[in-house]
Amino acid sequence: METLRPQLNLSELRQLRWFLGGLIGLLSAWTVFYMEVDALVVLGVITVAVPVFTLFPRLSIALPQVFHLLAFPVIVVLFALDIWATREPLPAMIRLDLMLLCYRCIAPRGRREDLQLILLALFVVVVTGVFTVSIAFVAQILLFTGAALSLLLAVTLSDGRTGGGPISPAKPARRFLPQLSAAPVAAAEAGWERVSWFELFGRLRAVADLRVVALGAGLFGGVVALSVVLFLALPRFEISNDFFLDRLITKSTRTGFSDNVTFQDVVNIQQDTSVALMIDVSDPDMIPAEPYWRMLVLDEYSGNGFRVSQGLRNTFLSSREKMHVHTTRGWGRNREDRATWVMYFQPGVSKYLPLGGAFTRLTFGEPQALLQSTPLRLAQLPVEPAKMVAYRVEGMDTDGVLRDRDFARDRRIRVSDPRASFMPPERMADFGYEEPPARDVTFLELGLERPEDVAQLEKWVEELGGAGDGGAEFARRAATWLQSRHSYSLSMRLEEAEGDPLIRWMKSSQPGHCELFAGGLVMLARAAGVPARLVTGFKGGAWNPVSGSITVRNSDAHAWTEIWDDDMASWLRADATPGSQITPTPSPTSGFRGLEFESGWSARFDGLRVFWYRRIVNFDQDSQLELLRGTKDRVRAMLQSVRTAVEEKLRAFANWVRSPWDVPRVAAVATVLFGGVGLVWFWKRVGRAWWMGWRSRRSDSHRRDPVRIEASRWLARLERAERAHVPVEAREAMRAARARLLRLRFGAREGWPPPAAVFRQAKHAVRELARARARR
Amino acid sequence: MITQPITTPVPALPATASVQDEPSVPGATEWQGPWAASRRRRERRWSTLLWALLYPPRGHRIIPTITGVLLIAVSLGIGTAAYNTANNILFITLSLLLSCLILSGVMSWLNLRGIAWRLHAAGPWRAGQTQTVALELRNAKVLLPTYGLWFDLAAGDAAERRHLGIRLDPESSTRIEWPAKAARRGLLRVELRGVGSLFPFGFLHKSVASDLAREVLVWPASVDYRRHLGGAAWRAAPSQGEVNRPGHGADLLALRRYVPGDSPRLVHWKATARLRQILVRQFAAEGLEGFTLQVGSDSAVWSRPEQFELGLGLAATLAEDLFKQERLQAVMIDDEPPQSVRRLRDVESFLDRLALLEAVERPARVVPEGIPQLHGLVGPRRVLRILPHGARGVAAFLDGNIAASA
Repeated sequence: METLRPQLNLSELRQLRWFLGGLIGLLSAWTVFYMEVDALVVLGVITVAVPVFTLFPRLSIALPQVFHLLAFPVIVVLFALDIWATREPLPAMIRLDLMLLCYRCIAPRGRREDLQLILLALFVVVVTGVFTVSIAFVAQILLFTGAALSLLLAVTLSDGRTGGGPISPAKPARRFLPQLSAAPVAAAEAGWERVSWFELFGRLRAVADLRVVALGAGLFGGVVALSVVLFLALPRFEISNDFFLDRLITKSTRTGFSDNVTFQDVVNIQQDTSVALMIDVSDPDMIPAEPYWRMLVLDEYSGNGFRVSQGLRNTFLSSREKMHVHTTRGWGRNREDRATWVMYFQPGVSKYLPLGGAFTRLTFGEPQALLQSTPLRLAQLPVEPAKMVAYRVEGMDTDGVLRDRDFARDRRIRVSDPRASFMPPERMADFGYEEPPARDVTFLELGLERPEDVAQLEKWVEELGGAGDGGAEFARRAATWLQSRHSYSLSMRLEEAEGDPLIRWMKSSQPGHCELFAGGLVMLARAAGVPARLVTGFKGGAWNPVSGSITVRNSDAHAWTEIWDDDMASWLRADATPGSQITPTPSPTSGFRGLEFESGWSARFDGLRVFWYRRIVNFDQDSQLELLRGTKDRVRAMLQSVRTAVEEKLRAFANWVRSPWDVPRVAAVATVLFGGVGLVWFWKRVGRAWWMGWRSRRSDSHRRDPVRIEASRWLARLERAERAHVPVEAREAMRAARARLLRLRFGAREGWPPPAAVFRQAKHAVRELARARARR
Repeated sequence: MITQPITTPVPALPATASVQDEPSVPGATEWQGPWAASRRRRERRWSTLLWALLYPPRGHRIIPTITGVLLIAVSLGIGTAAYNTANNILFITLSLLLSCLILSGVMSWLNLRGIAWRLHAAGPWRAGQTQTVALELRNAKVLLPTYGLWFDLAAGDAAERRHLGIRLDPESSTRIEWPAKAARRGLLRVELRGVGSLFPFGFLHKSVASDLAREVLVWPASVDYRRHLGGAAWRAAPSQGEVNRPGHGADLLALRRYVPGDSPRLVHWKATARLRQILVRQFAAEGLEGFTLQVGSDSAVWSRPEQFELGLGLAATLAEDLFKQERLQAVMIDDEPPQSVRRLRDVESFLDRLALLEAVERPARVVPEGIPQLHGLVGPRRVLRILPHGARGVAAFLDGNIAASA
């Protein structure tokens, strides 16, 4: 007889529920760590209290009744104060959820409270997933699902034991009143809090059947697979609405990528090696040899850095409504360029979107409001994104040259007519200019307070020979000059002294970082009368061979210069930082092979993250259609290959049949045919009976005995045959066959007649019956 | 009360065995349930199965529980948010929730698959006494256990939901017992009204209607009565001789097979040696002067129904007691001729008839003054007649005197 497995009693099920509830609470609460929501106090309390109360449930029982009475009002008051103080609804709601979660984890729970716990935990997990769009969400939601389903299973089994009644009274505060514990259910679970976790897990191991556990794991895998199928198959249609929760949360921004950059800000970003941007490019050969991702243009020197002037800030125009697709007119030059760049921009970096240069079309997955600056070729989100932003860029220039016809016209006017430099734009029409320069030009302002510093700059410009041969040439000479005086270093030590720090650095021979080189070049160019501006963003990136994408990290943050070249009527990228190419080369693309290659586990994880963004986060109606088309093409190709193979086989067979038939060939075919027929006959006559007998002898269960199963089938067949009238002449054969089949089916093996003979007899009986009926 | 059924191994049956092939058990109904149905339904096609999944068979109901409604509401909310925002994280969550709902259905189906049950309610019962109704459960699955079933049992007006509190392992069976009490005599319908389950996650309340029922006969209730006549009439007096009934007299009645518990002194060694099996002597009962018990059903006599019920209870109790004392010679109902009582079966037949006896109107007859109207009172001697006594009581009259009352 099979050994019976033990079963969990009611107390053990109760302990399991308690453990799973604590686990769910802890797992879900910890997801908030990813969110940068200021909830460290609540999280700290949960991290300490929930494990302690979970491991020692007696503490929960010992909580005074007044604690339960006051818990909810206190939490509500705290939430109201939180809203009033912070004015941020979503973080306050998350903190409220965490407080409720904490209370549910440490207070005694019944079925209803367990459900509340699951719902609270689900809210936290989903909201965190929505805001972080992190690949960790997959692990979180799967862990949560597994734990929640286990908890619900334990709840159902407990209810099965208690006859569907509540495990504990509805109100936890009343739970400990002695008169309520008189119920048989309460008696059955009394003492559950005296738990020995080692014993419980030992019992669980004893109770678990390996096959059932494997089946459970298989079913869970099936759930995951089904979820994937449903995710891919759920019909997608566009409802032009945005994700309103975005507005309920704010995120801090990096100062290096904000409107005001002081020296060292960009260097500080470089200390961070986390991923800032992932780029999927449709044609990897279009990747430039030295990619630059522009984010922000700063024109006004502040004395300790650069900032965006009000004039430039005014050039950012907002789109009237939120749209999926934002197009530009006359920005890009590579209209025939079919390369598509999909950027996955991480949260917490900046609200300015990294772009290679001018572009023709910018597409978002969700309707998105956007501020675009036509003269700067930049795009900016209205607020700092709280989650990863994915956007597709088409027709993007990556050669470091930005044409600006308006600025060229403006420049021509100002150069040809000195009066234009001093007249306000609204009065330009009085002087005969139909289209006056509309912008407040600051690209030539030095912003230096001390005349000595200006004089020093002019002296250096004179040393460099001025800018008579154009901005590009001057940039090359000035950058070379800077590089000859300074080496590159992330740390800069400049002694305290009077005067502008940038000029003092230029005067010294101290090493410097990219912001100083870029700032120095801007000042030299402006002093020489060449418009220049400072740009921050990212330079370079690494090729991830796992995902086939570019990974740009915060450590790739960089600052460089853009200098106006009158001959080209364009802004030229000029990078004075040592080790960089000062101005762009004519053949800028070298493909992904020019990039550094990532390897190791981080590359694999980043690859997985790109897959997550590419296939999951960015999955939309187009992707669904693409998937459908791909599946259809693959199925069609497979059917075609099968059809081709079958046709080939048939053709070969036809050729074989058509070929001349000689005696050896006929003999060979006849031998094969007779051999086959003989084998079938032998199998039916001897082999099958032997095989069945062998399996029957090895079978240890009546239920799986093939002889008994076969006898059962024949008995059923006889029964069906006998439903209609049975002629007299066939009755005896049927009776005899049935009697022998019954012996096979229920009798001891030792008393069995030969099974094969019995089955033949049954077959003959059925045939005899059919013949007898036919005769009538 | 929490039922703790006993798990016993399943009787050996081939996998394709039909439930009708099993020998019938007295007091048990035939097997019912998904396993039994699948055994009966020979043709098993995928289309049938799929159709059954879409349109459950008659009596099968799936109703979402509060948890299920909550899950559906959460799914709807997340689905609305997902479509409104095109956010794929929400689509993933929605997919997972829907998958959980589907998993719940699949596991629920697996849980019920291979389950068969039958009802044991052996009669007859006694009104007012607790009897055990047993439900035999069988899990014919090879791999999977079954959890969390409940059974809605009913006996007359009484109904109760009994839970399978334990895990029913594969290829095993168990019994769920329900102590039921019949309120009144007559035919009592013991039935299994439905089987349900919340397994696995409590999202869906799955129930299968059942028409499994068994009618049991309920004998009149046993009543406390008081004997009269100073004990003289009741005293046992030897009769003419032995009676043809097993007992403790001196005359040999028959030989029978030895059963455990028989005294070795009763072994008939010669017969045992001759037939090569142990045989014991069975003696005839001593003949005592007995009684004939008579019950009438004239509604004119039994004007109060509760008095009639009490009278039947007294009759049944007296019949049992007298039979135990081996002093019940015959029984009579109304005008019928007396039926002699020799075996236990005779008493049981009498009680069976009492269980179904109804007070009916009969043609009036002239009876001696002072004695209530009876029919067919001629014939046997020492007749104990059950008649109303007073406003609420009943009595057994012997020769016009009260012999017992209740």
